[in-house]
Amino acid sequence: MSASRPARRASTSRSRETAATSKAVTSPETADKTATETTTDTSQQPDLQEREPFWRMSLRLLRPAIVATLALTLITGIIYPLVVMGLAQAIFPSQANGSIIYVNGKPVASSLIGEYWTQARYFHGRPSATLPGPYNAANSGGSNLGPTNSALKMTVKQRIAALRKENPDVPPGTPIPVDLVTASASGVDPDISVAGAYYQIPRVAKARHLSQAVVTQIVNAHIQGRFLGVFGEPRVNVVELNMALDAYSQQHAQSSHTSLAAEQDAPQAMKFPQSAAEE
Amino acid sequence: MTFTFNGVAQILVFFALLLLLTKPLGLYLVAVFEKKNTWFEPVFRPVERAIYWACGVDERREQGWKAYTIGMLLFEGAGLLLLYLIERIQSALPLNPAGQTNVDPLLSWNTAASFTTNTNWQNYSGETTMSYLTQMVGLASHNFTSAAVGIVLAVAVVRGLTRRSVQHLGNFWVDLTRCTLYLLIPICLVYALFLVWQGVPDNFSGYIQVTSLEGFKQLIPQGPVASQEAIKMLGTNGGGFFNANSAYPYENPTPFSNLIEMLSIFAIPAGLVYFFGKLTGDTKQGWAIFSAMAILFLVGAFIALGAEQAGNPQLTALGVNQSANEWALAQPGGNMEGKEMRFGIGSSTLFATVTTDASCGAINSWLDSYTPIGGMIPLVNMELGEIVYGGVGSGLYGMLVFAILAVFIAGLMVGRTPEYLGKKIEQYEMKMASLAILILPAFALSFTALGLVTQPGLAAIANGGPHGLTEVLYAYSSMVENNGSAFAGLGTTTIGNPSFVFYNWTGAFVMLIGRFAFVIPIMALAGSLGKKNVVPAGAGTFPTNGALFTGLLIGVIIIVGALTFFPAYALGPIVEHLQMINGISH
Repeated sequence: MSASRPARRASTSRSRETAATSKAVTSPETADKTATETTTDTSQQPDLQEREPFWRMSLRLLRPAIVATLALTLITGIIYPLVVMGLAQAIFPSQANGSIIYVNGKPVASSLIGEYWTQARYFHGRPSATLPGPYNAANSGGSNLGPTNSALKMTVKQRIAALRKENPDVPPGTPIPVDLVTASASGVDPDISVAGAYYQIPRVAKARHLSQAVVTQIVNAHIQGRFLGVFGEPRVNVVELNMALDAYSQQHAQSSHTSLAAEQDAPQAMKFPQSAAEE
Repeated sequence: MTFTFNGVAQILVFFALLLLLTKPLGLYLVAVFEKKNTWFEPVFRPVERAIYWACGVDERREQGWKAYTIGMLLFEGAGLLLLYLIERIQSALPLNPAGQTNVDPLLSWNTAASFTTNTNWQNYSGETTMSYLTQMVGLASHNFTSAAVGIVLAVAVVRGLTRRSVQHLGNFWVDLTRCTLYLLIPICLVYALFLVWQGVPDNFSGYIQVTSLEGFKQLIPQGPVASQEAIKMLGTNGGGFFNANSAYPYENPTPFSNLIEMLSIFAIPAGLVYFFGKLTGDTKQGWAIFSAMAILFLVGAFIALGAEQAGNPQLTALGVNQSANEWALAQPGGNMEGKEMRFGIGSSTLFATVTTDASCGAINSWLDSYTPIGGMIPLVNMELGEIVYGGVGSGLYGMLVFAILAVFIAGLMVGRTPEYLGKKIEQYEMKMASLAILILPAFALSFTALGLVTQPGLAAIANGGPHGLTEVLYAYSSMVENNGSAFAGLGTTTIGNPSFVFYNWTGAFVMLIGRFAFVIPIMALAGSLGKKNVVPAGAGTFPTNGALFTGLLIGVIIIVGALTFFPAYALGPIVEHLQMINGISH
């Protein structure tokens, strides 16, 4: 085979050079005797090609370079990802397919990807700087506005004004939670802070004709804590919260005797076909 | 500076977990590279043999530093060409449900250079540019190989330092294959499945269209994300599947996944330090270096946390509440522009510190929107040489060069020939070490200067005032140091405009320089040290396994870094900080 030729040529040149350089360098056998236990075992023959011309060495190493590239691309770029995908689809099918939430067989959201909300009856997520519109999951990103950029100041000022206008029932002087007026990193942040949710409770309760206490209870039921009590931040997933609210309103409309206990069933209830999407 | 109890706890718990990982991983690295049996021999040994057979390589024959280095260069060259080719013809290849067109030639070249050099600087947005096949066969496989190359180079350098009177530093093909099969693939298999469990997708479906409860339509990208995400972090690569990188919920869905992603960046670099100690025969040699890294890491992490938690006073003036309100658990506060809610301040600044201490460059928050001092920490981390644990492999060999410089300076102080691990450090070694140390800042600073005096360089700047200077400085520091994170406002992605051309050409050039022109002198140094025998330690020998050496090493690193970059910091982040607290905006 032609492929074996360069290797043979290399081995003859190698032995010649070993002989030529044996005076100049310590021979491998003595080297191994003096070596610490960390050196490799004595059967190894070092490849003494210090004097081998650059071009010949390169030529000799070309075959392994090309073959190793192809072999490792096959293993790491095709076999490995396919094995991962097979296992992922078998063990965690929901997550592996994007954690999509279906209502009535139709995909309404991914529980991990934030959506754009405008109606008063829903909790709103964080500002999004994606282009061309907010919450564009297929073109993620942040604003990249620097801390001393006047555009940042102006944008935040506008957001504060809009937030106050949307939430007229918030007592004046209530501090504005920073997450409600700053753009997220991904542009599709699914969460808001607990303070950010509380800030919107008066508006949502009014729009749904519910008491603030009821909405507060639903919000509290959706607070996710830190991992191990240490990592990350407490937060509320906006999509899941809004679906739970719809489910609660739906049940509440069906039976006027709905007690607060009904919200325990909220996650199940969201699977029922009734939803605002049908409007 | 404002610190929350929780933010501090995150840093300390993270560091404790890293300490727990270091020794077991170090011992495993010894098994992989000293050809002891690992658990995976029954599965991978036949594959390993097949690769050697196909390559025509005798696995028992080791190479000198030249053959090792040339083999590495040829391998990287072949991989670079293959990736370029895949990008250029992706529209004709399968697995392209989003219908991505062929990648622009210049962008393909930049991306090929970027992923080959373990930089993963991205002048594109993944979900709008790359097909699933390119992501998988092109980019994910380069995440593996560039990581493996970094690791095996460090292994060869360690062998040069610890072996006595030998020419050979190991066999590149054997080290490369074993690193991929026994180290990277087994960890990534488990890691990728963990990520899927947390919510990272892994499929070939097309982008999914959802209709929200309000009737808004949203197109959600999918793809083989988890398999790539695992090696992206473990191999300190950092190139995101999506534009928002590890801020995108599909790449990093929970605080738990975020913790594991941060740990996986540092795991192999920290394990390699233990591996180094083990091979010297005195693990204290490793821990002395580990301690220097730990101190530099912790200082950076605390400053970044304090600066970001304090928030932006210009927003406070508008009535925004940035206080942490910690005990009510109501909001994280701080500078939340460009950060994700689930990470808040603590998990964002820790991630930013880790990703730039190592040469990872993945981000979970936009550094361009950090406060000036918060954003300066990642910049400083990179410019110190990414030696605080550092990139897989490159961190250790970069740090060992500083160790050699430190013993040289100690030798000058007492008037004695410096030694490191019993090897005399002489003229040739110092020439190579100095060359390696000077190459990175020389290219980072001169190209920053070029960017700041040319029209295409300036036109890309997104934020005015001193922040703009920081954007360009950050870009070239990141590319030269093979990090890949960015002050991403810098407009380098609009195909065809002059800034795109300028940054793609210069960027590809400095990334290749930063990887290869840096490592060649270090390999020469390792080859030269390998030939030397060991001088027995005497009364005048400067011990390199204790606190004194750790202190000296930190001093040398900071003096070299500060002397080189302080003027640039003064013009960028420092003056911007003063402007921010005085209410000046641009």
